[in-house]
Amino acid sequence: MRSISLLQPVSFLRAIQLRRRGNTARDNRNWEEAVRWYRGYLELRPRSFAIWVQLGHAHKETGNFDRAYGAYARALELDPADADLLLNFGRLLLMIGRREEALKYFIRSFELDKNSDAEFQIVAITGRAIAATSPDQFDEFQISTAEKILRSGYFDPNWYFAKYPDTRDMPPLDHFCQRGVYEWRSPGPNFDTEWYMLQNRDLIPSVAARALNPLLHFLEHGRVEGRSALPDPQAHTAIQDLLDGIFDIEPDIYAVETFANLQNLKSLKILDGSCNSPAFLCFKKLFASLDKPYDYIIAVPWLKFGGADLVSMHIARAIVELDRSHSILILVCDFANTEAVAWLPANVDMALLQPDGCTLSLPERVEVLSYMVQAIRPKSIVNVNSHTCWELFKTRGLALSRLTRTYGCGFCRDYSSDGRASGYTDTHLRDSLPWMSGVISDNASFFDELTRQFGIPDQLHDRFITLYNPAPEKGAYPVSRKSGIGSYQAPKKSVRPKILWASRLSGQKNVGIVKDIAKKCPEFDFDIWGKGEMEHEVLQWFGDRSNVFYKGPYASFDEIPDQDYDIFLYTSLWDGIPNVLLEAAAKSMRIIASNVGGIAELINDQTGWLIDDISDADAYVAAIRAAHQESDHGKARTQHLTALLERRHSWENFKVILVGSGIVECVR
Amino acid sequence: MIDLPDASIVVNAHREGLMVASTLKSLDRAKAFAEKAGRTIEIVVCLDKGDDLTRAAINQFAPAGTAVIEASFGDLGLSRNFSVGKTCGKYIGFLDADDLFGETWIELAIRSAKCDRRPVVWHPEFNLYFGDGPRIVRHIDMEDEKYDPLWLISGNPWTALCFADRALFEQFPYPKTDLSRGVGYEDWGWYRQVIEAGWLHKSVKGAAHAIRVKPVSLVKQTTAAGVFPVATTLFRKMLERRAESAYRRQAIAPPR
Repeated sequence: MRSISLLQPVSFLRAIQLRRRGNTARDNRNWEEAVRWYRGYLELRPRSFAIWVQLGHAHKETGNFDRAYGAYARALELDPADADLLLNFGRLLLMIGRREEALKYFIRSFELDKNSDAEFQIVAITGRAIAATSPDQFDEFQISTAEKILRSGYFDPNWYFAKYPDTRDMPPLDHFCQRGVYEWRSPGPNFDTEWYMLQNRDLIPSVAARALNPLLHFLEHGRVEGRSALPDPQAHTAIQDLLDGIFDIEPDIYAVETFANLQNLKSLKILDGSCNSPAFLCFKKLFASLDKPYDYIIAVPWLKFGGADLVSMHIARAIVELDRSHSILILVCDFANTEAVAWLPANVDMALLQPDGCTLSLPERVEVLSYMVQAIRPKSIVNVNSHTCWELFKTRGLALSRLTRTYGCGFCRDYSSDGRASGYTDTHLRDSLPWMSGVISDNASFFDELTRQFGIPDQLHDRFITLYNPAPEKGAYPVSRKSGIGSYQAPKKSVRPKILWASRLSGQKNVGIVKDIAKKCPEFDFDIWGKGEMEHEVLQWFGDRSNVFYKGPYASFDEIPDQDYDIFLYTSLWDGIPNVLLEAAAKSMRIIASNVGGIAELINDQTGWLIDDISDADAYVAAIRAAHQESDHGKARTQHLTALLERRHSWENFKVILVGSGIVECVR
Repeated sequence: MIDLPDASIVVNAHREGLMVASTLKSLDRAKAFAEKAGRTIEIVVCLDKGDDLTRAAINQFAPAGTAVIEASFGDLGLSRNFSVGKTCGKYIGFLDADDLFGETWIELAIRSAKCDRRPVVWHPEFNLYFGDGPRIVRHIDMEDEKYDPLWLISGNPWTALCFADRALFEQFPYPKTDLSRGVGYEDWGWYRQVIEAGWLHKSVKGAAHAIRVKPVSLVKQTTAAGVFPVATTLFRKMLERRAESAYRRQAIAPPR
């Protein structure tokens, strides 16, 4: 393995990276990831108020309210007078039923900056205009509570008096609101407080702390959630009858206090077999949104303008072209980002695994996907880099293999920022491969590497499917109008030779080495195209250099004025056969590329300039000068490359492999 | 002409040991209750790969007239199928050898089945789960407005102790469980299959079973194995119907 060190071991840099990753995860609504990164950051910077707040938000979104509470409380220690935090803390308390405490935080938030969100919450809780709030807000709240209870019809003063004669020293409603309800006394014949508490035991601590009124909880939440206000007499009669018949014969019943009398039986939870888990509810929404069964599911993490996303589009388009009766669903499994939706081929549908703002943990997403596969029973499921789908393959691969054919894509091993191999082929393939129908890669070299690394025996080699990506076709995939990309105005042809570098701005693509190369090549200009997590660094690196220019992002290679460039430079540290090389090759550009992954299958001494020592700027410099000077020889190389594209990377060849490998069933 | 029993109750035993005694005592009472109402009840106990202790307990506590058969499937579904072939009742009900029937169950189930001639699989309205994590579970009736057919994708709404016309079990034998091949939950998969074939699952009002929950159960082992119930096209057919209905709507829609 190559040693890759992209970051210096300095906690400052590490902290910045963790924070940025946390923010990216947050923006993608990947809350569990956000929690992970933010916690890592806080280990290094434990007094960061802003990140404690962000951690609280992330925990809240995952439904982990206890941890959200802890994070917000820590932030509150650091800054007790932040109106936004107080507002969010109040919202959290409201979510866990602690309305009175929530109200206090809303009031403090409102007092600090008169924000309308806090005002809205105060009005919603108290039922009164903000102008009516008094310093003694708690009493106001009590009055409001009493009004709500009275209006609900559940309070019967005569019944209360008769049932609880010991309370006659106070007006019955006052007694119930201030004391009785917290002693589990009932307001009337139609609400059994004790029953409600025993059936909803999670509320007991809040009621014990007098922070939650069970009747109000029922009125505002329980009723719509289907929780019952009274014991189920039919259930208890039936169970009592059952016990009457068997009580004396089963020691695990007669010796257990729970079953000793009807009063104890009331403490047993009554379930109805219905399923309300987040995963099921999410599946239900997803299933309701489908209007037909599908023959193929292509699982993707998101739908962005990326190389792997393009592979998923190629596969979907080819399946439709092979047989128009095939129905295909692109299932976006991990994140809600679908910016490249314009790429969707005709007659291919797309759905989010987490529709309408559902936010699920990874195990829950795996559950939803398993429901989908069981329900739809597609002919094949092709996983193009979805974590959820890899996890399903890993944990349920055997069972899955009885329902459908499963394929996973792997293009190269992926590395973390500290140089550890941590891609899905390292973390998931070993457990999944025995049950998979095939592993798809855009290059053959990757399979040699997998075989070496994991000792994959010969009998599994027939599951390796080398699916060379087709060379780009103009207009095959429209560019989203929303991208806002393409505003760059091509400069007039300059006399200075120009080098094009275009890819994702990430550690993997090693854009940083361009800085060194450019310094050693003052006679060339270097244009950097792309976007990614290192955009900010790139701007800083190149801003003050006279021969390096950052041109911004591009959604399609066609947006780059390729006629301006003599040479395409590619510096990746690890890769398959990246699509951008196929793009540059299709434009007959001279290509200089790092010798990693499957690149040597495309670029060699016959077709371009391959750099073996990928960390040596001088090697790139020598290749650039050679490519620039050897114009006739360079032309021969591009001709060889064009021939290779036509022979191996044709669209027809792509479809032939899809059918021949069994990924697509084609009877025509 | 020989009068066939109104119902046959199949007890599936494996290695429950002394717990079988409670099960068989409860069955004896339920049988007696039904016989008082004029029913004839046949009992078949199938000991599948059983041990000596369980065999001895069965021999001691089985109600009079019980047929005890032995099998070596090591599979609950196959054991049930085998037992069905050894019965002759019009209706067949199952009891696992560590669970208990309510005293009225057999009689109420026969009464419900005789009153409703549709293809119905009957379940008690309530189950008292005892042992690990006691609770009460109300069985959903497919004709209840709360019933959602999609529940069957995420779990099994009914216990295995069902009661139905013998024709059902003859037409739809239980699938074999094979955890090593990714197939488990024989009753859950079977319920999905029979629903797909048009059978209803209904509950017998007021009836109840006691279901023992063990710290280590077959269901828990099956869940840990990461398997699925036997495959079904029940849900895919829902989508096919949806697509057909949309197609028909388009076909009859007036031209724009």
